[in-house]
Amino acid sequence: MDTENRNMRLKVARVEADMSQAQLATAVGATRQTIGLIETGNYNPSLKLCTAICKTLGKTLDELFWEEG
Amino acid sequence: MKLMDGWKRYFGEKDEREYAEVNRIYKTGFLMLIGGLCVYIYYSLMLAQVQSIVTDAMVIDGSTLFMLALLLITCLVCTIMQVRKGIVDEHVRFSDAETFPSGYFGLISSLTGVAVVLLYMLCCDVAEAQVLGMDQVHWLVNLAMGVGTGIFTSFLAYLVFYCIFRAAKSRQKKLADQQR
Repeated sequence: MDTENRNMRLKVARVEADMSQAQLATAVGATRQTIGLIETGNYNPSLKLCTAICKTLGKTLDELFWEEG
Repeated sequence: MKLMDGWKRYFGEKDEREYAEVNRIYKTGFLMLIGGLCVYIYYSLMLAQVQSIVTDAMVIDGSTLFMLALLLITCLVCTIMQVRKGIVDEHVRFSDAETFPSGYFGLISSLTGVAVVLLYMLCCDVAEAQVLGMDQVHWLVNLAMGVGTGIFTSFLAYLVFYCIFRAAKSRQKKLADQQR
């Protein structure tokens, strides 16, 4: 459930920023497939990629990736 | 240097997930190649040994020796690179161990020995059947020789693992000192 919430947060933030998966992928130096897998919880990104995503979407690591409990 | 920078700019950034996946795929390929090379070299040596019974002269062809050298150099380079990074094993439990994890490496050494027994028997039996005929295959002798070789290889592998562990641990300490 937590994993689903976390990934939904990323997806929501991306949609709020009016970016497609491909646009976000280009901005952070990843492939669209990788962004898709992060959003569906099938890939754990490195801290470097997490930071790049947060900077691009104007969010903090806590807001997008922190899991409670 | 400019050429390298231009080259990197042309290719662009690497996707970390795909980079890791590709490395995992090539690791599988590397292990398959090493395994295949071992079987080829062992079989060629056995064939040369059995043929020497007929011809009275043991001739090992150049390609087998080249591949043997290539195999040894490859394994040596990989081991040196691993030790230089202070890596004992990818599992935290064994990599962080202060004393030599004898049980774990003993198990790996034993499995190596078993693999050598099977490889020896298989190669020797097939080579004898090919050169001398099925009725001339010395099944029990090959089994005994294989077991002997396997036991020797187990001890040798254990010793090599011990040396790698000591060297990697020493390197870990040096790297930790440099970071302070």
